[in-house]
Amino acid sequence: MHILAVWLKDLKLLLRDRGEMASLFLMPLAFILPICLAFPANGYNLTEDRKPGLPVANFDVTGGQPGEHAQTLLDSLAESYTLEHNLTRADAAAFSAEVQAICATTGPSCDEVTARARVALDWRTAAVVIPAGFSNAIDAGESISVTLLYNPSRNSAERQLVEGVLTGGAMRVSIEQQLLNGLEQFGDLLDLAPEEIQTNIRASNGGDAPPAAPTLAPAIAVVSVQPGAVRITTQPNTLQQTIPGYTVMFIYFLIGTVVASVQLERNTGVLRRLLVTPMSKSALLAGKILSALVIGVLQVAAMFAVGAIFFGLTLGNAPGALVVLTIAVVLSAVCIGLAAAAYRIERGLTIMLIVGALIAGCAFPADWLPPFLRTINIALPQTWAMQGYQDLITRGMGFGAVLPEIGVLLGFAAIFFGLAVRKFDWEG
Amino acid sequence: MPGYILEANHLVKQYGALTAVNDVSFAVEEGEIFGLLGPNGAGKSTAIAILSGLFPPTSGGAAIGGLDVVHNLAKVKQIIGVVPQDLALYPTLSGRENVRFFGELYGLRGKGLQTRVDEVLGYVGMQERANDRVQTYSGGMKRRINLAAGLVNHPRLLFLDEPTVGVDPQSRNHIFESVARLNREQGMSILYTTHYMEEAERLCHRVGIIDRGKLIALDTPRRLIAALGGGIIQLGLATMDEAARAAIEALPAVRSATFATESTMKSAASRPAEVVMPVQANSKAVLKIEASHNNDALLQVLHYCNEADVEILSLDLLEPNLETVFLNLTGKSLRD
Ligand SMILES: Nc1ncnc2c1ncn2[C@@H]1O[C@H](COP(=O)(O)OP(=O)(O)OP(=O)(O)O)[C@@H](O)[C@H]1O
Ligand SMILES: [Mg+2]
Repeated sequence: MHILAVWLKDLKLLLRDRGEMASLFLMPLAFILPICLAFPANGYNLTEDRKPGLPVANFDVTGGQPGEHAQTLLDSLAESYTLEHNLTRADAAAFSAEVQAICATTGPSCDEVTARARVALDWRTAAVVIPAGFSNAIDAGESISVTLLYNPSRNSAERQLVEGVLTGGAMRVSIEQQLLNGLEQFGDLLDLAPEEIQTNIRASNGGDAPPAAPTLAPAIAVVSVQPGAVRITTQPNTLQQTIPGYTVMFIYFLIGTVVASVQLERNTGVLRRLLVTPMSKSALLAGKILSALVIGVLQVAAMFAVGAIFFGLTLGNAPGALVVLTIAVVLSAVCIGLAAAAYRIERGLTIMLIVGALIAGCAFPADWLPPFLRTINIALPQTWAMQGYQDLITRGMGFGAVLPEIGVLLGFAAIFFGLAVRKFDWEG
Repeated sequence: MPGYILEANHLVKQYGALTAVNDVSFAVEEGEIFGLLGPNGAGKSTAIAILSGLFPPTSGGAAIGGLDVVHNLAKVKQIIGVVPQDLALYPTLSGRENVRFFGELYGLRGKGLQTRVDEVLGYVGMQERANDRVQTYSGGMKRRINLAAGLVNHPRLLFLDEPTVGVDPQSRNHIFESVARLNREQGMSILYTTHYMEEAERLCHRVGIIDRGKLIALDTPRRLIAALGGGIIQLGLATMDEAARAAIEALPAVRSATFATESTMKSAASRPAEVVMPVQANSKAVLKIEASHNNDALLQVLHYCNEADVEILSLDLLEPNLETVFLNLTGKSLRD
């Protein structure tokens, strides 16, 4: 019951604190609104007016030259994409040693591993692998597959685009060949024709009869393959970056709110006064946590509502996971706040929170950061919060996908709560 | 033998090398207003903190209502009310919301809480402004709400730590009145700390004088004063005449003579019963003369002034009081 009393009181105090409310609710909007209004929705994908890159690995090579049909396919793909092949070791520099070793020699193997890595890292929507013997198989009228590597988390419209172009190219190749095969069948019919006609036609057709067995089958199948065992990331668009980003940045301003709330009670002497009432210390902490939790959840709800209503941000497919993740995020912020209050870290919080948020990828995707920052930012709760929201909102993933983030955030909460309780100076 | 609501036995509280409370023992009778008097830093608030269970003593012990303060704290908390020296209130909550909140912490609910909150707000005369935020109150109004919040649980023993600091005369009188009534009408026992001697004299049945952590005297105000004999003469002079001060201090029946500060003038003025000639507004300086014997001192002072041609603008003769008692015991004034 004490918890309830403390909770309601703290909630009232917070809601009446204009400064805190402004920093929690208006500051994120002050970033979100202009950015979302100024940039196009996909402002972070800066490839609009260029041909997008398409990694290609062509194993259909004879004598250092692409097979005839492979070349046709490549040409038709090149109409829509900047083909990325014949890569060198330098192109693979960003990837693992293994990839780099394969790329010691330029060739389709290098092209393929690089393509897989790029798709896996989500630098590219999809990649195309043309198998060895592609041209021969087509000539022989055998069925053959071209592989489309894609990242399933990626906007499926983009993938379908690549698929469409590829299928189109494949059809061009196979139709040409079908026509030829049709001619072959026509040739079979020709056998029934009078000798004189047969001779004339064969002469116009280059003379020698093709060895292929006649068939109507060999359309090229496009097999789509998802590269396995990689972290699935998708670059967020402006909304997906900005709205969760600044929301996360300012959720952690709750740290300052909690510090201020403890400071007020300390400075007014209320804290000491509370301790001579029958209320327990744990009720006091619990009430404080719960009230800040409510504020934090309202904050997230408000930002996402603005995003959804005014900018059409879609919030993914797992509302339950979104709620649980949000609670974990806010709890981590509140418990860090309690610890900061216990350790009397009262100044310089704002600058730390802003720098932390930038490193965590709140203002722009963390992938843009140099690798060492991308490594150390796992120590920041904001990083996990961002990753969680991106999984749900940008990548449309489910509860299972954000369990690690939720776990880590609750871990942050537990550790800092422990620190707070250990260090809290009740009498001061 | 009267029952004791509070017994403190050899309380010691050490802050590092500093002994804030040094072997203090006293007892408060049921239904008594007990004053703890001492200058700043004497250890009054520290003593209250120990007695109300905020932290345990370094050594020694205390019992309230027969319950050990350290070991039976939960029960002790139910029967005590604490009005801290600080204005321990939430500035952005209204007076009523503050009092309600503390009521809730004592387990009051619903109608009972409502009634009790109204009751204590009435007690301190704050019903009218009760719904305004505390931050909009005057210092005196905040003090009253501070008091109300300490009363909300019907305590048997009330700790009042300097409840009149920074308070205008009107609120001060109101607080005095409330405290006296609580004691008179409800038999509430009160431990009252202050460094205003006249408050202790006016309110307290018994007084303990504390200085640098030590309890140096304990009795009824009347007996403490009676033991002293002398009193204070306040002389309104045109200038802060140092030569005159020194000469007066040298008179046989005079123990000391000092130029008084603004606040002591005011407090003297609030004792109408003892004013012979009111301190006049145009007095430039007030010389405070500690007499070892009033009549003799008065005669000697008047005689000196007459001889030395020192113009007297006003004259107050104050009864011997606790201030003088303290001065006598410690050799220093309470409000240095
Ligand atoms: N938390 C603390 N740490 C160290 N010293 C302290 C602490 N609290 C009080 N003291 C010291 O203990 C002594 C007694 O302080 P206390 O507050 O009890 O005095 P007080 O009689 O209430 O004075 P005042 O009239 O100014 O309220 C002072 O010297 C003070 O500096
Ligand atoms: Mg004090």
